[in-house]
Amino acid sequence: MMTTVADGFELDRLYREHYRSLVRLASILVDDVTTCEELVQDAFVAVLRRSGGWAEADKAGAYLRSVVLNNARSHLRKQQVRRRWLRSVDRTARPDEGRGADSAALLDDEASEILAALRVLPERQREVLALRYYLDLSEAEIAATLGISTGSVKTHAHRGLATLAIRFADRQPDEEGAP
Amino acid sequence: MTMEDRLRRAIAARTRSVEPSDDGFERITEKLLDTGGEQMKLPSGQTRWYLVAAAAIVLAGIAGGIALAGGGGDDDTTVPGDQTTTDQSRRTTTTDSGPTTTEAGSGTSVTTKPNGGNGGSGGSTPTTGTATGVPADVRSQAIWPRPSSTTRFTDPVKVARSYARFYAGFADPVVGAFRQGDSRSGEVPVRPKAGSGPETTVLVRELSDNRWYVIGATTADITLTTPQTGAQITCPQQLSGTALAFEGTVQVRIDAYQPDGKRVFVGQGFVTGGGGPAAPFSSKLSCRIPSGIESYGVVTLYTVDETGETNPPATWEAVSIPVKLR
Repeated sequence: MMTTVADGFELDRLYREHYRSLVRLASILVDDVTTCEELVQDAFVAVLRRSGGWAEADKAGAYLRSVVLNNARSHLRKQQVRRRWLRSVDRTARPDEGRGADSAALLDDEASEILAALRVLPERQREVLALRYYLDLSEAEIAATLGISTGSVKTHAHRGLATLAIRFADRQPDEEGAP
Repeated sequence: MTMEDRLRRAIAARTRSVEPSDDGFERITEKLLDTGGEQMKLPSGQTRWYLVAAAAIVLAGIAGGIALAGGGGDDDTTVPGDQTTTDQSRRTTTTDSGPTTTEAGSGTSVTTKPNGGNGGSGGSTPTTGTATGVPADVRSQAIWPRPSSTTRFTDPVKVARSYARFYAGFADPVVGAFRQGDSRSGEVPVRPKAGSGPETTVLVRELSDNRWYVIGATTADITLTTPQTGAQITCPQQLSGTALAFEGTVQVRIDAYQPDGKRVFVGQGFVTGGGGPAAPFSSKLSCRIPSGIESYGVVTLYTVDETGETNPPATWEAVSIPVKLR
């Protein structure tokens, strides 16, 4: 018998190919980078456990993206519930309390504001926009990642962009792209 | 600039600023082991959750052993709290107490204080517990105790027992008599329990610092032909040999060590030989060699006690070789 589990033991390759980009993908949606890393690590664990070990390594990249977005969505929902509860017990708490300083500290004003606006879009809209404008995925790839139709991808992208465009219509950056 | 351009720019600015910490790989593997108690479907279609769980338990036990023994405290001559150790907290204690060399009983383990290069014979006060001035042969050949630890052994049987208990993960190893080879080397047989279980032959040698080290371990059931002793590890690492084990399954791990003696995970998996008779295995083990580690690490293949008599399942037999990591 010459078969081994280790033959398909692709964690190293998956890690090197996807880990950083997935953490960065998560960071578009979730402010705290440590949390992003946790979400991605959990996604790796989930994928490796569910995918028959390592047999479907070729599909793992897309699967990982999907699980990371699910994890991020779940995290944000829990965070939202927590914030609502905090506000209910403490009326002095601000709506954005609990938000990390990661993005605000490192981004210029406009980038920071656009990112903040992206994060308050409906879930599907922000995920479609993140996948399109960070990973440059095609509509078909985005549809596969999110488990929706390509038509829905177009709709979510259009609506999300339209919302952002309205929000930032009166604040065009100068020609150099500076805010 | 269109909204799309502005959004793309904002996303790029954000993502460029995010750099994951470098322990992600280790965290994932830890989480995989932590969740090993749940069923993990394997490519063969079999479910061997118990093996994954066992690996986790054994690794945890080994990690605990390292923490407790700090590289080979000798449980024969001391109770755990009294072991001559290399764990950071006790290093500090030893350092504060002043001795440069401590004999822990007749012919047993020796804890030497690092002293800036002469292996513990000087009188200067060390600032850390990390051994310095370790001879080259110790660095390249010693599996146990770790060269970076300050624990040393003057008895070949004691070092074999320490390896079995604290490194290989035997629950209560039955250690036989020393079988002399040449004047500075020999073998010590170790079994998982009295009167039964396969023999793991622990190879011991007195190296140039006149202390005894485990330089390898072999069993009749597991033969590792690739990598060979001292070989350079490359990821993914080819593993080949023959094995006879319950359901043919043999656990594999590659360990590295930081200069402070902390074990670092390099790779872990398992190979499948034969369930009877022995059969060859050949596979590639995914691994990742981190930076800042000692040049040499250890490849260990082992099986766990499937009789259900030890809970958690302890190591049943083990093969260990030193390998070059960088």
